Amino acid sequence: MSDVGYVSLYVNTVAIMLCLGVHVLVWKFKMKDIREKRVFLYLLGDIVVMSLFYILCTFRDDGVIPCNKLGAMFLETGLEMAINIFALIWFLYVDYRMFHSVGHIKRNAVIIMVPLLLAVLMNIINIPTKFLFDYDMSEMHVVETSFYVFLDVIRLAYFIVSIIILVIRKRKDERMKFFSIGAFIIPSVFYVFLYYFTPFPTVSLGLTIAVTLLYAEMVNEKCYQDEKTGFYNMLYLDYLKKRIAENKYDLRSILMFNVPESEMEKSSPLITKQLPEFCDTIRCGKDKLIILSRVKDKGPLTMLSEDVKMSLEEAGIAVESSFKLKKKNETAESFLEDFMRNA
Amino acid sequence: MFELTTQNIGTLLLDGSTIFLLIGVLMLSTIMRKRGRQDDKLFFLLVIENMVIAVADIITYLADGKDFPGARFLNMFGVSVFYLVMIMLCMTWEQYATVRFKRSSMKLSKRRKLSFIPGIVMQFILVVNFFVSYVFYRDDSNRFNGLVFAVDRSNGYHYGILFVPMFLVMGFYMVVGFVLVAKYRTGSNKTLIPVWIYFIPLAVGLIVPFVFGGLSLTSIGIAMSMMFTHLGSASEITESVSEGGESA
Repeated sequence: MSDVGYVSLYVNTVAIMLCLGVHVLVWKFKMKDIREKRVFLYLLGDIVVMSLFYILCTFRDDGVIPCNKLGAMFLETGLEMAINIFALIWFLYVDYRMFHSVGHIKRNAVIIMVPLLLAVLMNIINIPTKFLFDYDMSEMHVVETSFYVFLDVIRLAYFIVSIIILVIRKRKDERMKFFSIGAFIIPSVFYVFLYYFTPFPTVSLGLTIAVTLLYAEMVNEKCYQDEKTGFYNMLYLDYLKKRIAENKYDLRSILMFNVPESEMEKSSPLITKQLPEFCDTIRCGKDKLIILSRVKDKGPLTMLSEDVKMSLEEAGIAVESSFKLKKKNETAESFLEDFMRNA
Repeated sequence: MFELTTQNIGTLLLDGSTIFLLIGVLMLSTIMRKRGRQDDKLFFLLVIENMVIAVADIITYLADGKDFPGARFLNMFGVSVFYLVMIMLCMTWEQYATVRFKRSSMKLSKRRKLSFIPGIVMQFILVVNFFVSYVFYRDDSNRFNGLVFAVDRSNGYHYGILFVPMFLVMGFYMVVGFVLVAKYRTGSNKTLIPVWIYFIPLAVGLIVPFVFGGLSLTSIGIAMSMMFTHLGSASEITESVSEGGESA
């Protein structure tokens, strides 16, 4: 095998090892949201498949595995499919992380799926027609046509759109602090850049490092969460206090619920379902929850409080509630301090 | 003349990836370091040592076998730093496992102080080796291979009599650390996170290059092993944070 082949083999083997290790850690990770965990595991699984295809393609190019033209095209097509699917899973992961709603994905299913279906169709049609790429059996390498750029455009579209909506969302939703765009973009872009300027397939290693860093952020987020309920804890409240002091958090009202400690875990999904966007729920005691919200009028706030209370009482959970609106001439910082003092 | 071979680029790629990964992990584990726990400080030290090993590895691979001015010195220097910091890393790992999993204090008992002696002696020998081997270079008339290793005039590498004992010293600390991890994992770690996840990347990183040659996987193998250990055990940290108290 050539030197390039050995390096490619080592690089992709490292990517597979790292992926599998993170896969086990994520599998064992105590996460309230099973769907989010599942999508993350699919991301890792796809990178493993991608790395395996890169290794097989390296063996093919070095003549280690005997391959006819059709076999060579199938291997390359398999690799392209793995990359396409990664782009889709990434998009679905970002969407779910932001909105935590399968309904949101279902409502936009056509828009989300069409580019991928188009890419898959293009790959399949390419096998007999070779209009995207061909495999040169004499030189033992892939030759791309000018139409190949359309495939890249589709994948880039998934990434760019996901980054744009993430940037927009991060400005409003404090929870997106635990989803660093840089942690994903920097390694991915850097290693894709290397792929284009060196003979080594470094894409899977870059994506593996990016996804590993996202896992490290998941662990970070767990530090701020109450293990049993999934609500945020006092550490997160300290972080929000800093954001409020810097005028980066729009606090308009606070709701408080006294839920019996034994019912806290049961109440978690019931409360979360009732809350509007951009609310932060913090467990600040064994039986006390506070919700920092941007609702600024008494009417909607009363309705919200009643809805949550009713939802819990229907489930047989006795709950006491209260709320307070920030006064116009009051700062968010002093509003929160007063509330916590009297709570 | 200095020429970048395919192997050199591969080494740059893998060791560079190690540094990349570790910087990312360091930046993202700031919240854990804010807890002020001893094991978090030791992990920070492990990461820094691993980065130094990766850089030394790059220097060594770039200089090995080349004939540009200063290549031999760089080779000797790179390898010496590599082994010196490797020994330090192994000792730090053993300390980390003791503090993190056995829940001992970082304050050293007499027995633990004695256990550091082989590592410290080996590091002293490596420093002496650097100066001695560089001066008494190996050529046709002088077959001195250094105490641990030597690099001859044509920039080739030779093993000395203490080469294997050095690896035994490193192995001792590594194995003790892993035994502590396996024995003292408690609570969720014991049932949920298998011990082999800490061990396999390191084993692959050390054994594969030794058997098949080619590129060095040592630094990335160590990086993976350390990272899995630290991040994997982080699931304990929220046991009491919801009450605003110190974590487990």
